[in-house]
Amino acid sequence: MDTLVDTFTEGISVITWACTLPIALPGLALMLAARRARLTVGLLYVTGVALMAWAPAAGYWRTDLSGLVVVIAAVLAAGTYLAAWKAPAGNWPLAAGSGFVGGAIASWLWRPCVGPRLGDILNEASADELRTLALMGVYAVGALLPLLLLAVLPVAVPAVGRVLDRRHFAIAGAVLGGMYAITLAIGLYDDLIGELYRISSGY
Amino acid sequence: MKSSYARYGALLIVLAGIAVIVWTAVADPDTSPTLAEAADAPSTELSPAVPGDSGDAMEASAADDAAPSPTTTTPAATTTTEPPEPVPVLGTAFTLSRLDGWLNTDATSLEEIREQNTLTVVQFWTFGCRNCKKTLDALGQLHADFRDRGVEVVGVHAPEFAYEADVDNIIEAAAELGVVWPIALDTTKYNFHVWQEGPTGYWPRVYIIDSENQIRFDRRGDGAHTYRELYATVERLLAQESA
Repeated sequence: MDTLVDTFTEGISVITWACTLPIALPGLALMLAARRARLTVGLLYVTGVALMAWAPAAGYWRTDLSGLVVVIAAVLAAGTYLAAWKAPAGNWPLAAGSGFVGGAIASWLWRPCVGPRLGDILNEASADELRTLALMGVYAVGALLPLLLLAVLPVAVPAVGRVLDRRHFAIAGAVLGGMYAITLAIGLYDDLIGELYRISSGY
Repeated sequence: MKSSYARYGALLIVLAGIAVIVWTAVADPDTSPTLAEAADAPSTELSPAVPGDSGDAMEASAADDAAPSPTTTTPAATTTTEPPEPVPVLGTAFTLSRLDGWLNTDATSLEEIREQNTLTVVQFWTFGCRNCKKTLDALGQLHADFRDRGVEVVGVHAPEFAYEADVDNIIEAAAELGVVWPIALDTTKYNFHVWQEGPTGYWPRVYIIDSENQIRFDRRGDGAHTYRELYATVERLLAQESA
């Protein structure tokens, strides 16, 4: 139980860290774009992030993000925004797919800040698969908690939902998503995140 | 009626979520444990755990990182008639190539440093990485305690972002952070990716390389327990070498 709580709080503690931006920004854009299925998109986004963060450490995913793979990933990323935008309320597989694939791609690009708990998860991933995968999920829920709260907020406060459902929020999300896909395709995404990091760290 | 339950439930979740975020930020804005406690712990109090040999590293680490346990096993308590198990070999280490130079040393290669020492502790780090910074006190202590006993620390500086690739920034940060051990400049991250195969490399990641170029320790993260293990493993390997 202590491990669960510690892992969750370590995830929360990195919410404001710049090294969480590579998963937080694409997720935020996806949530804004997905007007009618935010909760599904959000939950599956977190699942995709957790799975892809865990898989390389467990030895299941060794594909480097370079060359043509980058272009494919960028096209897929753009597709997730389109799918999230278009997903009607009842079409949860499309929303789920966009969330999961979007999370997996963002996590593929993510080089996390490795604290004590995350370090343990990664160190033990190949030896204790199910447990570390579950703990990675807990960590991802903590690190992306604001996104999940954004998904739940419209249910809790319908007035907020009506504001978030306005078209310009969805357009903002889609534009952010488009920029993300383009910078990813032309190899500038790391530089963009780096610049945000540099500004936040004062160098 | 049903929808109002859902609404109240969602409201509860949102409020609880916000409370947890605020509580985490206020209670401890930087929850990772400082490694000063690991570094400050006298070597005689370090657990002789071998990487990977604990039954439940994650459960143990949760307690370890919260605070150093006053009941940490002392050598006297663990002294048995049987010699401790040898530290396992985890593989063969790579070399460091395509570097942009070295700082804090006259050496020009990892081999040169390895040949002059019994053990080499290699850490991949970058000065902008918060978790890396937390390990520097422990590494400094390790460097101070074991340098005269044939253990050298090598920080392989692999920048995550462009501003971390600037040598002037690295020199300034190293001085500020008290990094006095050799720094290998892996500006292109070539070695970072060679040593950590696969799509994701991690900062920090620390290895112990023995005189035969075998990896004897490999850990990710900044956990105080990780660096206690590192310290203890160095002690054990030195003891094995001298036995």
